[in-house]
Amino acid sequence: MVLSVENLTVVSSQGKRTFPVVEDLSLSIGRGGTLALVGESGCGKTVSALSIMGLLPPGFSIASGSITLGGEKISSLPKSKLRGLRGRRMSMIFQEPMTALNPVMAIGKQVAEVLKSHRICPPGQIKGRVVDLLAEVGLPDPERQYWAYPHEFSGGMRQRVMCVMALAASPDLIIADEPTTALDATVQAQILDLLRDLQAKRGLAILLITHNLLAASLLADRVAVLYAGRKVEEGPTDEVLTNPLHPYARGLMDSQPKLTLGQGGTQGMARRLKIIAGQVPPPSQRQGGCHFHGRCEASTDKCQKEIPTLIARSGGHSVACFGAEEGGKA
Amino acid sequence: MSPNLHRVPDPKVGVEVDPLGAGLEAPPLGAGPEAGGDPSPGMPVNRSQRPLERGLAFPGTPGAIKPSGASQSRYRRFLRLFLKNPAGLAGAILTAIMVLTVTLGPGLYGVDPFEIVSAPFMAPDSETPMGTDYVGRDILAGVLSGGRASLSVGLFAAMLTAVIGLTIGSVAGYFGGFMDTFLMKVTEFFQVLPNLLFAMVLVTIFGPTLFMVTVSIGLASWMNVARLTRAEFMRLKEMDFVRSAVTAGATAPRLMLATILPNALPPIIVAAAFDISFAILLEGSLSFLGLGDPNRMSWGLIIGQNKNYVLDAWWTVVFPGAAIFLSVLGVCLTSDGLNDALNPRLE
Repeated sequence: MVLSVENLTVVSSQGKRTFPVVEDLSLSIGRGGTLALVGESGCGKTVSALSIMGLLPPGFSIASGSITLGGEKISSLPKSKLRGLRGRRMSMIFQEPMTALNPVMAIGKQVAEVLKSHRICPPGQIKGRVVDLLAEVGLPDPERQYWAYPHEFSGGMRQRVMCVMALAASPDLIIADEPTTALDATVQAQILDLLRDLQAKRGLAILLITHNLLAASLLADRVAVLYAGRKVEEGPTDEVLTNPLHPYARGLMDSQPKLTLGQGGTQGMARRLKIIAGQVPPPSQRQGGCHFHGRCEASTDKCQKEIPTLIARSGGHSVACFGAEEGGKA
Repeated sequence: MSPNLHRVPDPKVGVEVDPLGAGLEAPPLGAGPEAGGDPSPGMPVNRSQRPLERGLAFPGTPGAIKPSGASQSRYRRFLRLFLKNPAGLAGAILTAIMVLTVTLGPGLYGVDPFEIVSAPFMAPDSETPMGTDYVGRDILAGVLSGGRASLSVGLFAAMLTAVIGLTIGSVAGYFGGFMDTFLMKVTEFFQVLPNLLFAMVLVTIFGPTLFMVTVSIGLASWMNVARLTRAEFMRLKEMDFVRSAVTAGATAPRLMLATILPNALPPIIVAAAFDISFAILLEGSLSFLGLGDPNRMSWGLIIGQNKNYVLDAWWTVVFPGAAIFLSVLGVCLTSDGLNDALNPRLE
């Protein structure tokens, strides 16, 4: 396993009170594998990612659980050690390629910075290495682009540069936080393609954080559905997307336009989009039981009192729902 | 996104959105990647050079790049922007003239500024183009060699200001917390001291040498740069590109120097250049008050020594005054032009 997260609980403290933001989260990704972490805004996707990178914002801390990267437990490493891992062993691609590049530094220089930070190669070879990397992600005329500034690039090109920066020091794990959300639809597909190619070539593990189920379906081989800080369902991508077991996961699928997964598009086009009523309760207002019970059509008394545990089903699919436990789907 | 993108790498998609691929069929327009300033939109790329065939569907083709941009080196870009700005250009020319004049002038003119050449208070004429002062020294010789002291004090004091201000401001702004509170209290302590008075005290204690005057002016005027730097660092450290540099494993010194500082520079350069003019003025004030280096001619010294006779012999004060004014004007205009040219976001 490249990354394994075990029973991770992240809390946020406001004054003297602390609220769990991510509860008891377990994930694992092997070499060459992609796990998509999906869920609405406020589900704890980004906090999970930042805790893996060791970059939780002030006020947030890991209360329990462990994060292991390539056999090394990184959740308890001191800051200085973690710094050396970032970029070299794990790196991150951000959502907004427009703001995630330094506006006053030539893009080649920015990539070179990563190499310099980790002393990857002798100073004399840095430029050649950067040009090779730029060529590898399909930027035409990389020699010239080395000196270009981010404002001269389109969103898709910038995201390619972000990929280069993330890749420069050959990490084992890339965390892609909504890598395609800010891009046009056609460019989205290209970036996902690029990530898949790089992954195939280098055996990268990718943690894809997204609320775009189509992106998840294009890139991921496993999907974990997060709701209000808890993992409610996990399984192989096709399995979860075509046969979601948790009512929340089903709600997510139903609220996607035109996601017909290979069956001619007619039935999907005609129906009105369903929505999941209500919104994710903020960490300070979460109560006992299943966090989803307030928005769930099939909620029972039991859902309000007990926390459903993740139960394995056939085919590596697991779900945390009392309804799904008793008889197929809730 | 359309549903047929799911899982199946549709070859059509690549073709549709790949104007680069389409461009390959057209005859190559440019001479190749080595054509430095070549603005041709269809940059020829061999398919064999493309490592990721499928991943290269590419809407942001080179045609989308401003031809003036990527093909230019940083220096050419800077020059082009700087030369486009008339005020900055005028300032740079003015500054260059002042610097050249005080560098070469004394040698060419060849008159000792302390030598008594004629009667006191001679009005400007062909012998002494700017007249003579209260003891009969040549004002032009004074203005020429006095400029060396004034301008170098201005330059070095501003450099000292920038070094102190950048160091304190960046550390305070980057680390925040206790460090910030402590450094800002120190800055405020210096800020409430009147600059001129503080510089006067230092010069009085340590002696009125040119070096001490420079150091005193630097120590009396770094606070603005420090506060400005701190504010810029606090703003910039929250930006996405700084966070992305953090996730790439950048160390604190690299983040401060390579990532944040270049973004913080434009306003700081303007402030530092303004400090040059401020230092020239402060040096003039110190000399005017008799606290300059008495063994070095400077513009302030000429004005200070002749201040009692200004109504009868205007030339003793007007010419060195004009020199100070022109230098300060030149430096201020240049700093403004630098601001516009150094900031690629303004383009």
